[in-house]
Amino acid sequence: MKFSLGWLCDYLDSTIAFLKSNLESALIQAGIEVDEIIDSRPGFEVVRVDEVTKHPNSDHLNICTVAGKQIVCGARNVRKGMYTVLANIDAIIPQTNTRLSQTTIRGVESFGMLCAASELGLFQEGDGIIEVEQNSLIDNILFPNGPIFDVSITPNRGDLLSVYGIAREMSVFGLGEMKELLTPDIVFMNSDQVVKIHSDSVLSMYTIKIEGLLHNITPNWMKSRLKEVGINSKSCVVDITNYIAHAFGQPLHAFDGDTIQQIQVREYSGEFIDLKGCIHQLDKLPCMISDNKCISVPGVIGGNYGKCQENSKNILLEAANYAQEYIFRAQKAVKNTDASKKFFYGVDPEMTKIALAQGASLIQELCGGSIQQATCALENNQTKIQVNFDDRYTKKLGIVDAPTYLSRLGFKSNNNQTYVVPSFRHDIHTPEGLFNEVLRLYGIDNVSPMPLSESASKYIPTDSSEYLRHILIAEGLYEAVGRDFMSKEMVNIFSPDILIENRMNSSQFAMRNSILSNLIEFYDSYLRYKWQAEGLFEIGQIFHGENVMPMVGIAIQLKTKDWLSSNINANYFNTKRLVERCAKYLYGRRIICHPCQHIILKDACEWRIDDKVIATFGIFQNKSRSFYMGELNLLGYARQKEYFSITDQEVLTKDISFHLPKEIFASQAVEKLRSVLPGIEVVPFDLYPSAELNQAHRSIAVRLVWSNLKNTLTQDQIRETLELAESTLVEFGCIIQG
Amino acid sequence: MVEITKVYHAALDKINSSSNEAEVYSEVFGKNGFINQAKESIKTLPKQEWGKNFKELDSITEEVREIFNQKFQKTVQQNIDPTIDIFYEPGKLHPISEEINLIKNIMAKHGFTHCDSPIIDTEYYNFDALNVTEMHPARGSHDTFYLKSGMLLRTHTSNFQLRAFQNFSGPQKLFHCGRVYRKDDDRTHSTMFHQFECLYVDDFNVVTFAHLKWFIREILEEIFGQKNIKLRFRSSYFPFTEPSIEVDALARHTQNGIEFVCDGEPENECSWLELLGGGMVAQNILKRGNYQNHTAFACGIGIDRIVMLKHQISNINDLYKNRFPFLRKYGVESGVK
Repeated sequence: MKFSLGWLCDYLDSTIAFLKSNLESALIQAGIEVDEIIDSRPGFEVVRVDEVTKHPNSDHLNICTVAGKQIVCGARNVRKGMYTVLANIDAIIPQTNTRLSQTTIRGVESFGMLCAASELGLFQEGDGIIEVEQNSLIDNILFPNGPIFDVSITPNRGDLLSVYGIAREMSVFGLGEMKELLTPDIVFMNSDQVVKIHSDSVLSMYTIKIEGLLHNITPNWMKSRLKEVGINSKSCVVDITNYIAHAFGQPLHAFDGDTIQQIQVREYSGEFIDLKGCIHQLDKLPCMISDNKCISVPGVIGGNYGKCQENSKNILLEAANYAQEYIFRAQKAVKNTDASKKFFYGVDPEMTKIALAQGASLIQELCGGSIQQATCALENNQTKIQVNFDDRYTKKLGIVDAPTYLSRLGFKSNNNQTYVVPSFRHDIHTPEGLFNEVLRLYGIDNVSPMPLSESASKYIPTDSSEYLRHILIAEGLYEAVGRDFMSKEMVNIFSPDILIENRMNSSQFAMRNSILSNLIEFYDSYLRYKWQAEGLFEIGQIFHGENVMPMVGIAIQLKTKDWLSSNINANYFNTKRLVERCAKYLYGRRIICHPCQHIILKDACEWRIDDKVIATFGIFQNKSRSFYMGELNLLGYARQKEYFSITDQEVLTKDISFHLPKEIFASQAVEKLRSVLPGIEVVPFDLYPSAELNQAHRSIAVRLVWSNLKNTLTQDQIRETLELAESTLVEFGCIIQG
Repeated sequence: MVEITKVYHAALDKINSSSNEAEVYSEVFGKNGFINQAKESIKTLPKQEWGKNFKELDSITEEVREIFNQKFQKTVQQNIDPTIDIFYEPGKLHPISEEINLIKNIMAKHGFTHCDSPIIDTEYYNFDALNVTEMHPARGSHDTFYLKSGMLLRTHTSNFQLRAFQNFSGPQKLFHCGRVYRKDDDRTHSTMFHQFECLYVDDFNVVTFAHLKWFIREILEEIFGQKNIKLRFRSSYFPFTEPSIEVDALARHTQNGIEFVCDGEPENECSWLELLGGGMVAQNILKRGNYQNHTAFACGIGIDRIVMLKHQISNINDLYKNRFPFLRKYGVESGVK
């Protein structure tokens, strides 16, 4: 919402100078956010024309010397000694919104431009460059109505979408009294002669016929005010409707009085061509109909048929108020307009008639013609809201004069308890709303802060995933944070089941069902750019049906043999160990590793608990690059704490080594052993000659660990266990080595 | 009796007469060197003489080794070069997760308990329950991500409010921290970002607007690590709080990031930065959650924005690209403080 201080002073008894220094802070106290204050344009200055000489290569151009600069000027009125406005190089010319550059005009360099009023965005009579007084201030010339404020209005405050509304609010906040608003005395006759209403969406509606318009030329002062708030001038009648809407927050609509005699407001389905020529298909929308044509989607936009033309001599001016639900539907069906925004935020029902009368009298004044007929098709009969005041809120903060504040804001009460809400404040329904009003006026800054009572949190801020983060960064990995979406490319690979209905672009096709999808994209770029980082990890959520699962994913650089490991597979296992350690850390027990087929990983293995996969590891490979990837489910982790009584013989270990048959995975043999040796840890610790499958002889060594022993085991007990282990392995096809 | 002094002199002679280190080492300290030969000879003596002789041999061995080391400039005998640093530098935490950590710790300190809330939610909990009517622009498919199932991706962490009221009773200090989603994508808006929100409910007027004011200053100062920050409390509007406020801090952009202006400091070249929104929870929401005769405050902050302010990051998308130069520069080495 934009307004100039000059316009504000039409309604507020104050001065531009006073408002310039006090308005911003008052707006902020009132809760109105100030987006921008436009009060200067860089690059412009008031200058004296020191010298004028004829351009050697042109009949109509002159070379002027101003402020020590050479300027080529084509204006006829330029003369030595006059004061005018110079636009320097790089100044932005308001008329064209372009940056001025240094030019050479017919062989003579020009270092700026002497400006005409129109070039400065001003509306003034006369040709040629602007002539100003010797001591004029440049800002006063460029902003004839004073500085322009651009403010944000919250959706509850429709009353502030007008210059008048801002003035009223600022008056309450002490910036001046409201001037009396002189409204022409027009009598509205209750009649459905002009408009017949067959719709609940209309809350009130008034029309005025003005006949015999003499001219339709907008005065410069109005053009200038409208331009400053971003409205371009069309014809005088249309400009006046726009002016009144911006001034009082009540949209008006002008029809051509000769075309439109009678109007019906009723449901309409079919084609509608708006006044800009855009075609809309409407479906059962309450519309204004005349001659069986839709002439307006009321409150939103007028139609092409029956619109007020530049040469219209007779016009029908209409003002109304509509239900918010209707405006919501109509905006969706057609478009959002300035008018529909005002209705949606809510107009003051008591202002409708006043604004219409203001508009009609302004048309009479500026365009001539006479008011012929003022009718009321539907009178406003909205009941006034009454709200109880709860003084416990204010007393607790030490605010004693709440009734005074409320009365200043226009809330009326006989008993300081039940308040009648002013018609323009339909946002206030609750005691808290009244409290908020008091608070705004009292000043939030004046409320003394009170400390909270202390209490203990049941929350322990560092959980296991927090420790996991630290383990992983200690391993040299960087933490990534990815968005929870999956791109189309990844959707094709992972087939997630939660799809997004209204994505913005192909990056948000679905909610990710794998923590690896983002990491693939991230880490691929690491390899592409040759960023030497060990790897990345991400702790985040994945989405499966109704379940959201916390996961950790890792991507780690693939290394072949290096000076630390003679074995080509060493890095595979070193990296796998990281995943295994994290799994063991989170789940607090040893988990079996199985070979697996993975959608994107080769040489993949997975860890399962009760048939549920809790971790996966393997090598990711695309056309040009490959790296290790692993993922780990954080959902089931509840680290089981075990408490031991420590005895002297608490740990005993025995090693067995055996040949593995070709078709058997190491984990299968280990699992078999674990199943027959409950309570004894079985840990593989050596492999010969390598982890590669399809070797004639693969030999593996495992360590049996008895821990938490209460009594010393006898030699017989140990032998028994070892024999059981060996016979199990033999049954399984292994050959014991010793 | 072994003539240990003889061994000593023979060893010294060898060290002095040869410059071949390996040869000297082998003849003096080697398997068949002087020292070992002397050991063998001692073993031929009666056992009661071993102690005295070995002791003497040990002492001359040490002396000889020192002389040997001096000549061949040996300090400690090493078989490997242990000085190679095989560890690359440790990784770093993402600045967002570090910020979340900080906030969680601050909230725990103030006695607030973390309360979960779903990311995929219903229109009811995300909008209706919070007085965001069907006509509110935020509900349009232009601003909110809807799923094929008809559910939506929550647009704010406030979706935990009604759940909290429904799941608890009596006075509570609760907070929630997590990811939220909006259809907005430019330099300062991301389709996914992080929010934090806290809620304090107690008997009617035990918790007041004055407490909210105190609490907001407290947490902002702790989050930004600066005391007496100049704050501005502005009246604002949210459908779910009444009164509603927004809080700005006066700040100066310096080479080291944002510096907040503190009370009594000059205010030149400063601007107000919007940091936080909050207010007193609307009474009808409390009642929906069966909290009669209570008051509550709520306030929330965009975590990404804090990270961006702290590190002078101008494009929010950089937070989610996870490029190495970014993580190296803005990542946090260790969260252990």
